[in-house]
Amino acid sequence: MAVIIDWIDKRIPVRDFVEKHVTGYPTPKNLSYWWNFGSLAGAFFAVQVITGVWLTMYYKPDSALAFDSVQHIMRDVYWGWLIRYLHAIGPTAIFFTIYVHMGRGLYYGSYRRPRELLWWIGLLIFLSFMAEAFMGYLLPWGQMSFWGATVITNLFTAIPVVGSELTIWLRGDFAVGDATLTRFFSLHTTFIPLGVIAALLVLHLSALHRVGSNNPDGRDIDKKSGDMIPFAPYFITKDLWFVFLFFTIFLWLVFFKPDLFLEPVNNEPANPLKTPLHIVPEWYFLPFYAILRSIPSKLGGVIAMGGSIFILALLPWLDRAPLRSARYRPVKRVLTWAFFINFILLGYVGMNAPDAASFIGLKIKHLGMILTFFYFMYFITMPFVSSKEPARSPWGEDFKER
Amino acid sequence: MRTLFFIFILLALIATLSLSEFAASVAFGQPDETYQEMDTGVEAASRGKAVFMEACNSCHGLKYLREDGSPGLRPIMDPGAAKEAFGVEPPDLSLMASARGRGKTGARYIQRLLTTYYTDEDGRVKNRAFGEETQGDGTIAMPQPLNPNAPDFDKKTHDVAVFLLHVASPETQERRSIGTYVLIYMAVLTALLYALNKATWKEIKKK
Repeated sequence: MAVIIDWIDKRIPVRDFVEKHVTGYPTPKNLSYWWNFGSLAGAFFAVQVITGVWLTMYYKPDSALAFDSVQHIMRDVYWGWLIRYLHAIGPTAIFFTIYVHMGRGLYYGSYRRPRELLWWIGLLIFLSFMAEAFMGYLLPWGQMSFWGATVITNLFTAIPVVGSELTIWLRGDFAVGDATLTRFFSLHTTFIPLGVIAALLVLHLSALHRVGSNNPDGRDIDKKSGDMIPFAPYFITKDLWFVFLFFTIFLWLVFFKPDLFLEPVNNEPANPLKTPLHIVPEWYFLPFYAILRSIPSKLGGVIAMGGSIFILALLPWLDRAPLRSARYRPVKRVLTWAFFINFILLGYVGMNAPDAASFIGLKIKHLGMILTFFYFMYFITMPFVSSKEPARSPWGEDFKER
Repeated sequence: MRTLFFIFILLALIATLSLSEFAASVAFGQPDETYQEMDTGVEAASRGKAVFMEACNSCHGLKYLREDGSPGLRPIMDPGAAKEAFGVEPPDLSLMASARGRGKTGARYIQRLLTTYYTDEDGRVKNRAFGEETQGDGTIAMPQPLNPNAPDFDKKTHDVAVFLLHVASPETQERRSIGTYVLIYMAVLTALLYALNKATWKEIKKK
């Protein structure tokens, strides 16, 4: 065995690679369980890739056959229902995990120097997953698949001058149809997961291993100090048991509540002549959908929705405090928790009809406007708040050397 | 910190569960309390099949039905002719129970649809099951398929709804029985891995 590894190691640096990225990779000892969600998202992505490969064997990307082929998978293919439910509930797991992962980064200041690129690559991964989920949702060719794709591709018509041409180019037709289905299928199964997401994951990990993990204190830790321990075995076992804990919850959903996150109306075949009573996106798009609807103009809504994600990329410049972590910044701690609650409430707004009454009596659309305002205020006020807010830690400042 | 964390997971789980129930109730109305708890057993389903063959199959097909190796059930009446007679093509009912609500709510919706026909002041036949069929104003293309004055009307509507629930998700039985073992296996494995993690970290925590 050692002979074989020696032979390979002379030709490819396997030992260096394993030493650098696994056995010897220095990791802060004080990481909390909030730092487990990155590897968890990776594990759920692996589930999507594997189940996706099997579904592709039986699925037919043709608007006349797609809906039937899904039922063929559900009824005739051995374990087809399991593979399909795993794949259909997977996005729920991935987005839940990514949101917690991003929330942790926001709270503990993981976007700050020297982790700006790490944060931006992460945002690109988030955007790619959104595109991946959106395109995948068209494939079952149900009512919500069709109308969801119609509504979202329609947003591009809001772009001045080229809008309507661009929409036709995206759809491959004047309306969502067979051409849209085949191109979404192609992108969903090849380019986006393997060409974009997988490549970005490699970059994300490379960047992480260059700059090292942030930690709950947000403090730079000397690689040689006793506060750093090697990744293996400590974080292998820590990640592993945690992944299995979440797989257990995930499998409970798959086996006992598979329809919980699936839209019932999507069990009706796509019908371009009949609009469903309520067109609601999947839960993980709801907060952004709420921001989209809160701006009275269509173009304004599209800009606000894009801006709500783009503004996250500005965080490295917006945050001016001498410390990273909200642990030692009481004002940021309160504001960030308020931001999280605000985000969840935006999801609630996105789920309900604009003219319905919300639980506080206000109309949903008005509540949405207020929450959208607070969403952006969190970022807009950050440069002022963070340079004035009290930030005290037991060891002094983070960015002394600046 | 750790206990806090588990409380968080639990809360997140409860929140998602209640949110989804809430979403279902928003989209499909509150489940009607006037109906008794549904008996979703195989016997009710097989009685329901007889009702379906007698009262529904003339217009509605079940193209995904996989009983006795059959490749589905076709409607007796030609869909084109049915469209001419009723204005819309009668939909295939294979997935109707899962298309109108999660879990049993879809079957309940079907039962409600079959039992809430009424005639409005202009003499038009309408339905109270506001949903995709009635497009919000109660107009429905389907004439009342089962006689409401028959003594076994309630039972028939219940049974046919249960039958459609079985047709919509035939894997339910298998899924639940395997699921129990899967969860036991996963729980044991998770506990073992947790113990392994405890053991690896022991020396670090001591320092």
